[in-house]
Amino acid sequence: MILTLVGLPLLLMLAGFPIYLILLAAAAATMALTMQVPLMALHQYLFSSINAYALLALPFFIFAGEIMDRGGVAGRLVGLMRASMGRVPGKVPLTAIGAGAVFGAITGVGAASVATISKVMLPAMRDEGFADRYSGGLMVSVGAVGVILPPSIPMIVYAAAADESIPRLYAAGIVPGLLIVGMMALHALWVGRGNRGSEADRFTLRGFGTAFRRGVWAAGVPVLILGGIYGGVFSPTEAAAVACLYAFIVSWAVMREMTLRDLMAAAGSTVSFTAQILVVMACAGVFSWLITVNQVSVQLVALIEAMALPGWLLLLAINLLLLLVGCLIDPLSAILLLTPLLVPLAGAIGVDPVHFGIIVTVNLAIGLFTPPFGINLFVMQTMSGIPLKQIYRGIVPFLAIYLIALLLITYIPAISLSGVRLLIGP
Amino acid sequence: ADFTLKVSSPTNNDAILRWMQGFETRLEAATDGAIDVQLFPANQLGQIPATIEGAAMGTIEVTAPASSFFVQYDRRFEVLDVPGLFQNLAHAQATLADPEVLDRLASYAQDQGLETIAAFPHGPLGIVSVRAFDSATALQGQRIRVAGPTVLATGPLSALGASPISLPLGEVLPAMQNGVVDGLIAGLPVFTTGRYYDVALDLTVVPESYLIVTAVASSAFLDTIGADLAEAVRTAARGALEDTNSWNLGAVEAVQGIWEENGGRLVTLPEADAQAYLDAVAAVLPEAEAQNPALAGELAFLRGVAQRHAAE
Amino acid sequence: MNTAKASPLVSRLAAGFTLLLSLALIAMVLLACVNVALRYIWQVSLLWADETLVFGMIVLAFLGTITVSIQNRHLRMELLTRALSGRSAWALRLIELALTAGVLGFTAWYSLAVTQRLWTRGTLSNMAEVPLWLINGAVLVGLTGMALVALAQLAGHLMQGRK
Ligand code: NA
Ligand code: NA
Repeated sequence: MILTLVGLPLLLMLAGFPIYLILLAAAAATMALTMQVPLMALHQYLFSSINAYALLALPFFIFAGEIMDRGGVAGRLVGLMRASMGRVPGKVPLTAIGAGAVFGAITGVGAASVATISKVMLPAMRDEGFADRYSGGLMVSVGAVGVILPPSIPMIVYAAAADESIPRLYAAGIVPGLLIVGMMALHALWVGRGNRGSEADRFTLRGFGTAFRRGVWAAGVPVLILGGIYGGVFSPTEAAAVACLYAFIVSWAVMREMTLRDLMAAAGSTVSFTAQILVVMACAGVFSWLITVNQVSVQLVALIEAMALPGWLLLLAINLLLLLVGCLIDPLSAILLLTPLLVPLAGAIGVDPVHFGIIVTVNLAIGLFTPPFGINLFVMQTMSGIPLKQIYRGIVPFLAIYLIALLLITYIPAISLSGVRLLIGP
Repeated sequence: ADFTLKVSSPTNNDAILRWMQGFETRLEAATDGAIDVQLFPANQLGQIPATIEGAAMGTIEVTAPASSFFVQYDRRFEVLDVPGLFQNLAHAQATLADPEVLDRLASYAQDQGLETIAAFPHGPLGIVSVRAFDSATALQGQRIRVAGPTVLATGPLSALGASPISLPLGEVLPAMQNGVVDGLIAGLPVFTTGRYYDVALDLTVVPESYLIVTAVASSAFLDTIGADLAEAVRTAARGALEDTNSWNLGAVEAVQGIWEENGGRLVTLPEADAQAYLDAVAAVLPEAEAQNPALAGELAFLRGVAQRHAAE
Repeated sequence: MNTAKASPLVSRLAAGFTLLLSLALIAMVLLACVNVALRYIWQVSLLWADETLVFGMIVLAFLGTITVSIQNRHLRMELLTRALSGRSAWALRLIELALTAGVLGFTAWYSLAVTQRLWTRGTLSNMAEVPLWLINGAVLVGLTGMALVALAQLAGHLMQGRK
């Protein structure tokens, strides 16, 4: 089983084969050669792993990004942002971080925020002379903050699985989320040091006024999304659909930068991108199911338990396990599988379950943008055309930031629990 | 072990888990290790429709969700959604555990590759809403998430002026927070395990309405393991009902306690309003029977058995 | 990749196919917006909408993936393979196409079995009451289509290699 479930995919990965094929070949071989289960399960899990309402945000936000890009909304938004920030060093990456964090936080769908933010921000990053490698790494990693900052579906699932309070988890996620965003911002300032832009970038009221007049309709997109979600008009998934409609109407009827032909082109790209990503998700679902039914996670946890490690080492081992599992399967499945096994372990060495929930969430957030199967990577690659290999290199500094933050969050409970004390009480 | 039997359920730490554990113990003992039972609660094997399809095709051996998910496989399952059949939880338990009822349920959906091996009430249905359901008129204008599109699921709510809304269960809590929907109707334990007291305070027990769980086995699997082992599966499944039902009587009360401990309020409808709700149900029943020709016959049968247990 | 470009006829078929899927996507966006408006303004909800939208996404994904195969745009990680010489690159591509056709054909076979059973049993979905064979059939069509594309590419690849 290790041969087909681990060895075969590694081999095919080195050969550079399509990711969906790697997963499907490994799953088919494992099921046909090592298990008794009817092979119709292959089809069933291909189907059911993308038969999920939560994934619907993906095509909708990709479509919104495509429309905004082709219809001029994206360009005007960036123009407005640049005019308002003048010669602040690193203003474009800072904006990308801010927008990615806010967008990801509120929609709670990190991959979707990568889809939209990359369309809007990548051209601006290129204009400012930033390498695609850096931009790619930045956008995939900032998209993952969305599950750490509330609201967060993974936290809701953790709360149910660990019998914890959702508001406490939300409150606990704020400081860690901001910590990561802050570290990314410092990094951006350092990367952008010396790049203060030309005299033409200086902030002027007139320049801002022009950009504002040009961008006011475009600014309606984020306002509509955030306002609609907070105002109780629609869910994050529906927000994406409304954003598509609004962005098209504005680009077509008001700004006159988009035709029906452009709309069809945007839809065509969206279908292709959606298919590229979802076929990988579908095959990853089969793989994830195999890990579940073969009780791989149960065995891994038993292994850790048997080592009888001292507290701080146990926490480190749990982090490594979570990182590993987070790399292989999606966060929600990982939480369902691991929470019942790990919460008692953590509890035995005195880790607060709310604090532990944040540790779990940050680990799984990292899995969203790390190889081999981080969905944010796939979204970034399809939307931007930047080769995966370049994005892999680009995530290195951001992975380091997340790992440092993870260590701090793991060993300093106050980072998580101060938010709870402040907002909810002891 | 010669065979592996995977049991799937959508929830955790509730009556279904109790049943699964009782089933595992009994079956593994009875078959002397020939069957290894593996439990996968909390949707670990996938969402409910996927696990039912899995059972129908033989990739999952047993799945135990709410009975209403099987209505598309056999319309007769809808009888378990009819309110007003049982006076209380114990009455529902006794009726459903009656071999006559279990035999009849086992005949449902046979042509779909499914065989019901156990049935029990998960608990009373309740409505949790940010706007409270404390009288028959209070539902006016409320957006309530429902689990299914059938007349029985939506009709009584519509009759009282509410708008039935469809939303994936996982999205309901944030949607209530933002005000996209006002509340949901579900089995009581769902509200405490899902921690709905974090977003709404008022929990109303819906009169004489119960969420029924049906544990359904894959016919393909039962055929594979041979007649003796298949019979052992059936016997263990029914036997486990004893443990489950006695435990659940206390658990449903405990759920209400947990709700109040977490700052929630339990709302009891005044008698007249409870009657108004049941009248609304009675009013949609003819429509449900017209849409589902199988319903009337099953209803007469189940009412007959229920009456017998009420008399005891 | 190093395979010959798709023929004009195939390209045009793919374009027409993409157009259909694009229209479906736009219809999905409109349905979601209509459902928001109905719920917010008139307090009504189309109970079948969510499930229909998710099914629409599944169909888009599995049918769209055929075009992705034709255009060779599947996600992949090229770690070492860029450095390969012409002859070994050709051989590796040969293995990839053969494996693709094999694995997809194998999976499609079982997909056919599932779809057939759902057809015979006539099972409907829970909320939208759509026949399940129809939606599951999209997986079958997608897998089969991708397998055929791989076979065609394999044939092309072999001919190219002989030259
Ligand atoms: Na969030
Ligand atoms: Na067992």
